[in-house]
Amino acid sequence: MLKNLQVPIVFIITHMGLIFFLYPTDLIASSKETQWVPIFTGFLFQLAIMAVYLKGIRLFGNENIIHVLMKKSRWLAWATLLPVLLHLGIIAVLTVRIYAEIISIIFLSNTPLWILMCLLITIPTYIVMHGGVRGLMRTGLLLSLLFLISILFVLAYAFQNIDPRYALPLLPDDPKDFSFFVHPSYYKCLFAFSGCFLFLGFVPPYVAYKPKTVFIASLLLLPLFLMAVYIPILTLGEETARQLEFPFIFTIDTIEIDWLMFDRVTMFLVLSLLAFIMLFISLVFWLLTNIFRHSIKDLKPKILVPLVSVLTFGVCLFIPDLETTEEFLQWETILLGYVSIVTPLVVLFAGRHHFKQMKREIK
Amino acid sequence: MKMMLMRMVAVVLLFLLSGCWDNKDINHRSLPIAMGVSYNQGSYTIYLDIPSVTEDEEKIQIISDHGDSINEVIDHISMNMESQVDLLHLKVILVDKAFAKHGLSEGIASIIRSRYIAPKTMFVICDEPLDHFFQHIDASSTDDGTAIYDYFQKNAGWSPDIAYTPTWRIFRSIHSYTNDVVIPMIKSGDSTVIKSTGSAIMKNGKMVGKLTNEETLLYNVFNGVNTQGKIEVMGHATVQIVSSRIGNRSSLEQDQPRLRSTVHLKITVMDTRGNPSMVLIKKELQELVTREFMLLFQKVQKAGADVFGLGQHFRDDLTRPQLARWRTDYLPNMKVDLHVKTIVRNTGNLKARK
Amino acid sequence: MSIAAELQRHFVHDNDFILRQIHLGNEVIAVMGLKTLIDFPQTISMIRDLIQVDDLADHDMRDVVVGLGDDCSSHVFEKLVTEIQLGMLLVVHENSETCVSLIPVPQTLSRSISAPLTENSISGSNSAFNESMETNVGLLRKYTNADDLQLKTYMFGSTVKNRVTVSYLKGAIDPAFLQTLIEAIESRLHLEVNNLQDFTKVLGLSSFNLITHYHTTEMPQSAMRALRNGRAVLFIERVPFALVLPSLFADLYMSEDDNNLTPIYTVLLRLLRLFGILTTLIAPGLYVALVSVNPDVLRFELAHSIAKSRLDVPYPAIVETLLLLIVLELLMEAIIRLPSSIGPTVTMVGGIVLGQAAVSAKLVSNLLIIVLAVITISSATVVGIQNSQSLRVFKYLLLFLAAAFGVLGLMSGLVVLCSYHAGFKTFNLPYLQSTKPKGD
Repeated sequence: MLKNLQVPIVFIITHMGLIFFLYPTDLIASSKETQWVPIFTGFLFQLAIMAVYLKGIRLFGNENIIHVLMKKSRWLAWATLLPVLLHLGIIAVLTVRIYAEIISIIFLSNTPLWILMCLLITIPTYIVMHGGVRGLMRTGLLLSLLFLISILFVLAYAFQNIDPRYALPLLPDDPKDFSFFVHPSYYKCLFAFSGCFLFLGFVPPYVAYKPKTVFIASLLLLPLFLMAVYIPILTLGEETARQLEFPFIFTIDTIEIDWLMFDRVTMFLVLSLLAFIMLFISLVFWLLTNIFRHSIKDLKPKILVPLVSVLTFGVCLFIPDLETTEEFLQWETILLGYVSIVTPLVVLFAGRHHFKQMKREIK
Repeated sequence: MKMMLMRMVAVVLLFLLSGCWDNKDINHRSLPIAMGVSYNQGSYTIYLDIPSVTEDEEKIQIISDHGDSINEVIDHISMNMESQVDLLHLKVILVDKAFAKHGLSEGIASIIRSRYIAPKTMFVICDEPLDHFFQHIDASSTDDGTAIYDYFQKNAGWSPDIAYTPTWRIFRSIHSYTNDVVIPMIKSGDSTVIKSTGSAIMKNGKMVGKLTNEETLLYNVFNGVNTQGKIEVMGHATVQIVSSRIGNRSSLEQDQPRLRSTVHLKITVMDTRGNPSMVLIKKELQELVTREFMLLFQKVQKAGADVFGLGQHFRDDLTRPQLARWRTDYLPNMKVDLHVKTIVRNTGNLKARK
Repeated sequence: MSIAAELQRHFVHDNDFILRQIHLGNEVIAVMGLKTLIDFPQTISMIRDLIQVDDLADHDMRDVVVGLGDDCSSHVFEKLVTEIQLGMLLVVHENSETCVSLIPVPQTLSRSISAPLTENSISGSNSAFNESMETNVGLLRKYTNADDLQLKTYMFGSTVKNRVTVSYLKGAIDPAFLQTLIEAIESRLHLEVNNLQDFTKVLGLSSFNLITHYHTTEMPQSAMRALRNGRAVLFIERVPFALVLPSLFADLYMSEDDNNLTPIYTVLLRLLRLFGILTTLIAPGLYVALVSVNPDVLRFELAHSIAKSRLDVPYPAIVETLLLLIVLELLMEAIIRLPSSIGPTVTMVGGIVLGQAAVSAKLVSNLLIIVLAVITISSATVVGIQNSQSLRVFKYLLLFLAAAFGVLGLMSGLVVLCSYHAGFKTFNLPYLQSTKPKGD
């Protein structure tokens, strides 16, 4: 069903899961005015690495990138894949931990955290084990059909209390407006831009897609990036939004809809986003096991996937509080930067080489 | 087969292990609809208005207690009640004047911090001692005790000469450089349950002045709240504002902010005395609104509270440090030119003199 | 020993075995068969009609007999026994040692074509498949007037024998899928096939599933549509419906008869069914979640009135809901078991119990009765009996998760269900596809 659209849809919805929670907090913390400048900078960064990455992937055709890299140069492969593995492992742990905390803050305050983390790990594990990556992509399709409507509904209502004048001044006239480059939390929010583009390189042997559709999908994300930051700012003002842990969610909490039988529409938004986050976690799990199997040891997924999830759970239990998590996230940005710049470049160069080699062989 | 069994066992275990921590049936929760907070030298007294859940007699339950912090008092009440107090459905928070004058910042912050109380909860100042007010509500409640909630519901009892201020707006006004709010003020009525006594001008979460009901209507008109308020025009006519629109043009001249505002009012004539002409009614209305507004503006300017959000128009002209000084440096010097343009949409079933 | 005598000895304990000698001119032929399956008087007169005594002078008797039916003189003895068991008439000409099996006038042992029993059609053809393989295949042929319709019939079992017919459109079906299907069937011909569980084993599919591998239908037009879309349609003798393989997600909400309406109504109806499916799944869980875990999601007025209606209910919402749901399941099962003359009584009594009485006795809340009614109504909108059974089970998963985690649990349940459907495969064909199955 809609085979060519599966990958772009998964690309969009996993990003949606990441965009609305931590990203606005970090971005607002990093700049005081003209927030669209850092947003666009991040977005262009995403487009650039995506363009390089997709170009490289296309050169590989339907071949498994890991295999080709391994064959070409073990040293290069390890320099690329080991950081990726580490990065994915950290992402899995942090995502589970942060979102468990978010669930606890937003709706289940009495439920112990480990149960919530368990839930956030078991379901993705099930998704990966039951259907593999193909099943995962189809799950993404179904989830988007089920949950996108409610998200769009809530987003449409989010404009209820805005005051456009809070967006002023529109043009940056002060060199201070570019000070976000030196603010550490700006690099934290790049996570939302480059958090999950990596999977694009590893699915082609299993699920086919057209690079163009993914590129269009990432363009569709731009309004979401803008909304996630600008809706809280336009509703509350920058000074107020800065005070809040999750400004976007708080802004949604201020929406009043007279005719609906439900009082808190936030719930619909957060639930839908959490469904997408579960998909994101399962994607990370799959990537981890997939890279592990093709580069280190080909264990059966039946053993490897539960192993990865139990490990993730174990590490999650050792993180004491949200602050430590955020600190980890800050350190992770270095790895994130390395992975999101080096991997696309390596893939592009290796792809070129591979492509030429294939041509020569055909001749 | 084995796999399936394992999965089933896992699901059952999940259910058994999850002792349902957040699982508490709705009929075992007390859902207060209004909370009164009075503050007296570091000690809070909390009143809760809980519509009681019984089948035959609809009544409300007023419970009060005091302690050092809001949360402590609520825990205390919860302990002593037969069901758990859940503030999830709190709709109105009442504070007494003393608390409002002392400053609401901390109270608001703890409300915003709490995941239980929704940020759209209405915030109201009570113009009389809270115990008297709650006694009155208890005595005069005939329905299921939601009177105070309905009073502020836009699709129920709310009317345009009452301010409409959810908690998050107050929170915004505390932190924002250029936005203050007014909070409705009420007291117990003689023939009705609740009587509006105007609204309080808040500056950074502190009450600094008071508006009458008529001024509140103008405030609502100026802030673009879609109102349907009635205005008496100089003894010649009563008109109803059907819709209002406002256009602002801002300029900064040598650190003196100027705002040219044009208010477009669409009105219908309700009744007339002495057969005045439409032109007269329009003229009188324009004069009246302009005069009243200028008075209102002076009042606000004197209080130093930007309840109209006028500073918002200068966000492009001032730098951020300047904006931070908006209330002290710029607002007192500000000049507002108000023009009122009126369109009489219809005159009801009767014709009127041109 | 002659064939006739040998067969008679084989069937000596079967009272319904009949052996008759028929004299035709100078020749004698023996006819034999089971009288429970064959209408003998009619059959004998048919044979007499077929063989004119005058002709015997010109032709050899052997040739005349062979002309009657399939020559099985060279068959082994067991095969002859099978022929008789299948209800064929054996004609033996002793002199030339010729043995022929021919299609007799059968006893009528199956019902005539009638309206479908488990599916209702208001905008399409109303003939339904029944227990007879010939009728079913005939109906299918009549509805699918295509050149490349191919049928393969297999005989399963060693002691209890049964026939299975596989039909498909050569041009439409995925060759890889057809090959795996045929290989699976041909490798297990020794197994007995009496019901669908047996058949699942034959196909080598996993049997512990909550959704089916094959969609069953009574309607020839649905079977025809499935064939056109490249699916295989299978018939098992004595099973009164066609099995469409593989079953797909679209079977949940698409019915062939929808295409007799204008396209707008087709789309609207299908959306309605999808909405019904979602309602059935979510409603009980949502009730429990909103009543006991997340009452803040509800509007105050609603929360207040629910609290009032649940006032004296002594147990938690999950127990309350389970209790009533189980009574409902019992009622649905009881109505199937009971003869139609007693059925209405049960419906009435059940209606009273599930209705006002339970509420007045303060056993359940008012709202739950409404929720229950909604579930019952909406669960009937799904297409196909087997699909509605899956839904009946799935809603419990969501119910339990909702009791533990509230609306979050409900959402997790939906994610699990989505992933279950998305990962489900039949012969490497994913379940989650629209009408035309394609390989992964």
